Amino acid sequence: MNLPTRLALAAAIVGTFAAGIAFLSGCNVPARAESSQRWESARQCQSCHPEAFAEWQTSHHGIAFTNPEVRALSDDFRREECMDCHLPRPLAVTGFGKRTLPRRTHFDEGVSCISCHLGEDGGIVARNNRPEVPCKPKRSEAFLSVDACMSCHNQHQTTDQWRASHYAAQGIHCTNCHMPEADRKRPDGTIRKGRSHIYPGAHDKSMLAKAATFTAERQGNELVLALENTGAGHNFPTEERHRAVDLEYQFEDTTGPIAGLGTGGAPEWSRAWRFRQPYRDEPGENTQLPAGKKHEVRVAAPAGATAVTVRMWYRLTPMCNDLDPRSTLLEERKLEWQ
Amino acid sequence: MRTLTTLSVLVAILAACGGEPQSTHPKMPALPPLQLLPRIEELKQLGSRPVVSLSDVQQRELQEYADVVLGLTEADERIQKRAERNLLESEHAGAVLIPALKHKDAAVRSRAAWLLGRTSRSILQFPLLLRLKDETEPAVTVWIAEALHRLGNDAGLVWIDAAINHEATAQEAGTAALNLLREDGATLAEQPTWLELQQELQQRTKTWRRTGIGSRDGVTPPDAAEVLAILCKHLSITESFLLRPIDEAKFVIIRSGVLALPTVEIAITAAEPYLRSVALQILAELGRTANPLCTKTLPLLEDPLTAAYAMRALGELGCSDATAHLVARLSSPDIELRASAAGALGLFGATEHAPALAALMADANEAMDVRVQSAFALRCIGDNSAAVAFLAERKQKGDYHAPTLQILEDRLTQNR
Repeated sequence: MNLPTRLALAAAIVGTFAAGIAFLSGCNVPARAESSQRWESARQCQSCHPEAFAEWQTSHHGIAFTNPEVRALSDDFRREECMDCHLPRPLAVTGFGKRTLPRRTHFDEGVSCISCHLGEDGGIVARNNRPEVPCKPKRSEAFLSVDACMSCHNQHQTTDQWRASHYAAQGIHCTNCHMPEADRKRPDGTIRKGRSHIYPGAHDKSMLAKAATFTAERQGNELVLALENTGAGHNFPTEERHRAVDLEYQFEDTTGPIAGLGTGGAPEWSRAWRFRQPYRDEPGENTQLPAGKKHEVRVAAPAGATAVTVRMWYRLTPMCNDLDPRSTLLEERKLEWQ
Repeated sequence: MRTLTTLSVLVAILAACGGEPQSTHPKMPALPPLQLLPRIEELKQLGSRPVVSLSDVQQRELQEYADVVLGLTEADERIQKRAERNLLESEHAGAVLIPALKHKDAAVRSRAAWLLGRTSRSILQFPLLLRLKDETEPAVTVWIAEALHRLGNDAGLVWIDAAINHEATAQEAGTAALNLLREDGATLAEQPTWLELQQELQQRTKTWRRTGIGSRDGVTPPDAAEVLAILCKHLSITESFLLRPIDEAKFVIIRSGVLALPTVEIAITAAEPYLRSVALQILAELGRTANPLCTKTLPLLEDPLTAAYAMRALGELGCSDATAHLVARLSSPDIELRASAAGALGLFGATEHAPALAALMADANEAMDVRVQSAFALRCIGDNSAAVAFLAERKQKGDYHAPTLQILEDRLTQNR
């Protein structure tokens, strides 16, 4: 076999081999269209914003789709409408302040950097124009407005509650409490003011403690319990369906605790009041406490009472009892009765 | 020699195109133009039909009959039978029976459902479907499902099937199943086993999922305008931020079978993106029943907001006309579109594209969402050991969202 024939044969073998590889690898997939930088995952933000990323990753935005509590309540997201806000596409796609659409990718990222920071044009939106940095953020008024939170947080009327409050009139926005200022280090070591991405709320005891003022006093033979929403810019608790705030009491006499109504989160306790919006067919009316409002409850003391202990509980779900980790004891006080 | 070289290149080109260019690169017809129109107001108008108001006398009379037949007023057997006959003969029986579906006593709710199933008014399947959603008492659910079947809707048979598996409800569910199957003329042994009853129910459910038509013969279909009004009213409220109306709209419409199609057809071309996306999700759940809407769904592949939903819907509907468009989107720069296209190709068993899907699954540089959807697609297409191994590996390594893998597994076992 002469050289040209050998070369031709080699070409034929290589060609056939290439054809085989191409066939088996499914080369009928057209080459992927290359485009300018696409922002798709929160991990793309991590290298330049490690602190904000770390804060977000463990926040309830970061775990919005993986949180076992949510997964249980949404039947593992078989209730697809829950995905709208727990796995949203970038809010700007449908418009800040409008309903969101769910995505079906990056399941471990929940409400990610991309959900809030991706602009309509595929670029990044933020507080400032920064053409000199890699993601070239552009200032967006819509992104900075309450509308950005409303797309999801008005599902349970929280934004409407805020709009009806004096906080809205004073220009105190969601971010004032839920995204406080935080120091951020620039690459040159200097410090700038950024915003925290932890989003403290119903899972943060110190935040809950700031939301309302609880008082308990004796007036004659009555125990007067009162709760005033002095710190939340929306109802307390807000959100339909799950959250509840309970005021409970337990009287005692010289022999020990007096048997109560057994209506509290533990059998020996009595519930004086529950602040909650009933869900669906649940009986009762909405007893959530709007911003600035106060509610008072009076309980007649039993004969022989020598003291009373009162408690304020925050419950992530109304079904849980005092021992459940989803119940947070916000305050406990003891009043002498004699 | 030159001939040999040319031949080898030709072989390479042919093979690169899969050997059969027509089957792997189907000619891509242009998509029909995407025309979106504001629909919420239209749905509201269609949904606002005059409410038939009964006179106080009529209402009181019907309520008295209902109280007797629901056991809320004591009466002897003769009066009970007369009240039942009078109530069922009234075209307004629903006015007093529908509220009873929410009665605090489960026995009253069961009885109300039982009676609704015997009104012969198939339009009453819709309040029953809505109640099916919120009913928490398994025994009541059995009677809602039984009533639905009598009114031409087999969406509830899965609940009767499930109730047979539970000791507390097995007897009631078995009796309901036996009676309705015998009335349907099903061939059953004189004393059929539980399994036999369940197999019959499952067969009917399977047919319902494919056709959206109930298996009970002789049911007069509801008035189309009335159905449109009820379902449009459900869908017209999805513009609000509240979740419940959406939840209810989806639940009812998904279980309405072919009756849902005219409403969904309007909503998938809504200019309002959320409504459009909900309609496409409903369409996907309707599955093969909604196959007649394939052509109407295709243009949505050009919609940047809902193309991913449209792909899933096209896959579930079995719209093979979409194949070329889906293949083209396997190379989209958008991960979600690539992933959705891969999944959809699997849903209607695009066997000829298995090599392309296998390549995506094996591509370590590809996003995991796309690789997982490709593996799912390969498993839909057939027994694919590589795909089985790939998905098992994800589970074992825990490098992909486990509940999502489970949802895909569940879909594989549904055998729609």
